[in-house]
Amino acid sequence: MKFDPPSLARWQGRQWAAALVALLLVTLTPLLWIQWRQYHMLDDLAVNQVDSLMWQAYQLERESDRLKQSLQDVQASSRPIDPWHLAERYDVFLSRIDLLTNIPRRDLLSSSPEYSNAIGLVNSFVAYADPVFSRPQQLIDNAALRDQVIKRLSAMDLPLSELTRQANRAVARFVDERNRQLRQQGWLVVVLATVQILIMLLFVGLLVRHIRRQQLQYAELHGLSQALENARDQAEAANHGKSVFLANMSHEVRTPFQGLLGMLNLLNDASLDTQQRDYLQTARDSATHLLGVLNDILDVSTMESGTLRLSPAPMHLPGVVQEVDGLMQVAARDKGLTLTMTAAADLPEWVNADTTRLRQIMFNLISNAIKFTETGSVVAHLALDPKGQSGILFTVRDTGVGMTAEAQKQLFTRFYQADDTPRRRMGGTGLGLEISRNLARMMGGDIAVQSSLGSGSVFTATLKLTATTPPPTHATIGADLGSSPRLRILVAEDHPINLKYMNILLQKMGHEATFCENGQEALKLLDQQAFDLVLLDYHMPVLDGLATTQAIRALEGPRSHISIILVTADVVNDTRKRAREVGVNEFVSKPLQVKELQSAIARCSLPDFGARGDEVPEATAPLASVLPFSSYEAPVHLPDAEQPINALIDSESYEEILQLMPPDSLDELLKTVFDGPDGTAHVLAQCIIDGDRAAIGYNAHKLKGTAMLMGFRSMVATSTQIEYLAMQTEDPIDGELGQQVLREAALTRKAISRFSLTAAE
Amino acid sequence: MQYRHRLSIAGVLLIGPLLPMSALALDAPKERPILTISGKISAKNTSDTARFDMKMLEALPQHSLTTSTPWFDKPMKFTGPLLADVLAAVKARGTTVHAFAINDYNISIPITDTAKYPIIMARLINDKAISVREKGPLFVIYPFDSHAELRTSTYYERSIWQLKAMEIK
Repeated sequence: MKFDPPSLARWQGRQWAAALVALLLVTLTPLLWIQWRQYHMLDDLAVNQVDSLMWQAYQLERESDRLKQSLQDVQASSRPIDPWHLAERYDVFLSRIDLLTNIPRRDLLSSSPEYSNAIGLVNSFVAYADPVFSRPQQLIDNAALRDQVIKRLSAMDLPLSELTRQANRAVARFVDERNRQLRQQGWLVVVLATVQILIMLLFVGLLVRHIRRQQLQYAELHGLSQALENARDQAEAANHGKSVFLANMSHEVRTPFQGLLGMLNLLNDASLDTQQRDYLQTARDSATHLLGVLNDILDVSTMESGTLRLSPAPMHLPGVVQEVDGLMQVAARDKGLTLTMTAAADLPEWVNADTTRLRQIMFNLISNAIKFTETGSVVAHLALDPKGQSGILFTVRDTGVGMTAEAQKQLFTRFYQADDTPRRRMGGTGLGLEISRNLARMMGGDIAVQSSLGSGSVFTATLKLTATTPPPTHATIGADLGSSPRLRILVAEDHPINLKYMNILLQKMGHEATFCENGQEALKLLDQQAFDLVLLDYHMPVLDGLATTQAIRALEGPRSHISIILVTADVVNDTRKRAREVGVNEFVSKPLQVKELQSAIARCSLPDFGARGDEVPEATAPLASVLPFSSYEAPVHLPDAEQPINALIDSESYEEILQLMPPDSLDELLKTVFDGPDGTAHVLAQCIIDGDRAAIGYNAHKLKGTAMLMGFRSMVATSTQIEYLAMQTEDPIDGELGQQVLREAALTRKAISRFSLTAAE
Repeated sequence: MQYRHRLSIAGVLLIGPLLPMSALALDAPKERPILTISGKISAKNTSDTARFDMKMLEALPQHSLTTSTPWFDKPMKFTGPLLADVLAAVKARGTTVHAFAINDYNISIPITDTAKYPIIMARLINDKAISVREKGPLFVIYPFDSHAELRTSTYYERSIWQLKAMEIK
């Protein structure tokens, strides 16, 4: 039997049903036929009772005897005999003959010689007896006639009993034959049933195979879809990873870039000739542009990785408009354009918005308008959205080059400038509009454009910004402060070197500082004395910066509103966000820089600090706000690659320390790092040998802090690595790292002495 | 039994003159009687039996049925009064008919059979009178062909032929 599995596998329900019906027909039809045959056999048997054949033969024999007896009785009996009785007996005898010759299954008997012999005798007797019995009285009267009839009857005795035996044999043979037929049919039924069962089993087997095959196919498909899903997940993860990597990298690049810009700014103050100033300007423009590009990439990456979050806060809308207007006027004037920026009178004064991001959108739209307008004007207008209840409509209209409908369609597509359109020739990253639109969407709005080639463009940003109440001011604290510019500052810092450095720094700035080692002590001091400002280290024992801030904000009275600046080496955006959430006002990065600390204090907008606050941020303001920066890190100074000494020491940081610290304090400070066996470097090396992870982490952190403050670059790197290994991983810490620390400590110490010499020179 | 016998004779003697037709409701046979019915019957034409000649049976409503039987090799048409009508004619009251044939064959027929089936007491086969030598003169026949359940030996046995007497019990 050969079945083609693939074609069988393609069988549908209807085909299976047809096959099953055909199978049932093939096997059941013979069975039905046999049953039908048997039914008829039995029915025939009931109608044509064969056994009566034997009975009739016997009865014939018997009636012959009885007739003979009746005739003999006539002679013997003394009573008169009814002649009709004799005639009746004869008739009964005849009826038996009739039965035997007309019975339905007489064929069983009629072929035998016994039958023909007996019937022949009987017929000849009847031929003789009929006239005799028609006058029965004659038989009663005539004894000789009677004897003759009796004699003839007796002659039939033997053949009739032979006939009875023959009938008996015929019936027995018939029963045998019937039994044989029944047995045969029984066998046929068994064979057919067996065939049926076998075919059924075959079908069941095929069905099972078919189902198995389908299950297998299903499993394969399932596996395939699983694999595809996995592949998709992996691709998504890879894409996400790429975005995160890009965000990290651009962040990494940005940091030194700000340093570069800072240097260029400083150089601008130096006395330069015209050509040098021109070169410098070009370098600054290029750097500024490059930083803008980096910022855009960073924004897009954070948006793609899904980590960009808006941090809305009460914002003074007219203030922002004024600020944007002020900065943009410069750019417009440079191109000889008129920029008119207006705000509708019915706008709410305070709205809930992420100031940085809103400013970014405004900057982008206006600077785009300026960029693509050669002559004429740019008009920016801020109004309530007539359609939305809490919407604000920001419209920028220019008289610039405009765009074709096709260009408008692709306007928000990334890297649109890659094609050869006027936009490309005019520069720009092409990410700005995409970022702005994404930001607008995050604010529950959108950006739309209307334009035609040669007749300018209109960009409309709709933003859902809810009106809000102005934030609480620090007026009450300010009143207590009086007019003294000298601030009472509470500093919580567990690191002794940082403590020392901060003390020097704050004294130089003319403030009055109170120190404590952790958040708990800070809370105690706040309870006892009045302060204008709190400086909290992020990492502190007992109660860290964030927890302390929370505790301060939970205090009662005006103390809970005190300005808090968090000092942290942590550059992760998340930390800052969490800090903002718990109520930190400003941040300064480690290592502390005078300017940064000054501007942070200024940004805390202490009312009576205003006079000084205005001056201080001036120096950094152009850099900080011309470009739509996000809240990023302060610059870290890069080493000068030409001087090998700077691979170990950041000269600027160290020089600052040299200027700030009296020589004896500095010596003492250096000893706590380098001298054995109590110097931090030696203690850390010993801890690594001991394998005490907690101690390794603590000392590495301590060494990192000091090294960062002093600008010991290689030591910062090594201690950061050790701290990371000890705190964030389960990996074993290689003893070699301890040796490296000691080596670097020795090299750095050596470099310091050379540095001092160089500085002296 | 003896007591009852005497009582019935007394009844005939006493009540007979008052109600001459009540016990002897049946006419006497004019020809040679062929069927004698005895036992629990009310209509009689002798002191304790009812005797029928062929004319009397012919006078009853006649019915025909054609059926195959074990005694003939093809279906035959049987004609005669219904057994039920014959029993009604003698006002039979019992539950069983005990039938006797000329050849001394006898069988019991439950009277309920007469209610269930149109049992014919045939006097004609294929419209011809039946002689004794052709299993006559009377042949009780059940409708075998139209009732499959009758095709068993029980009912074949009840199909008595050469019928000559019946006793109602």
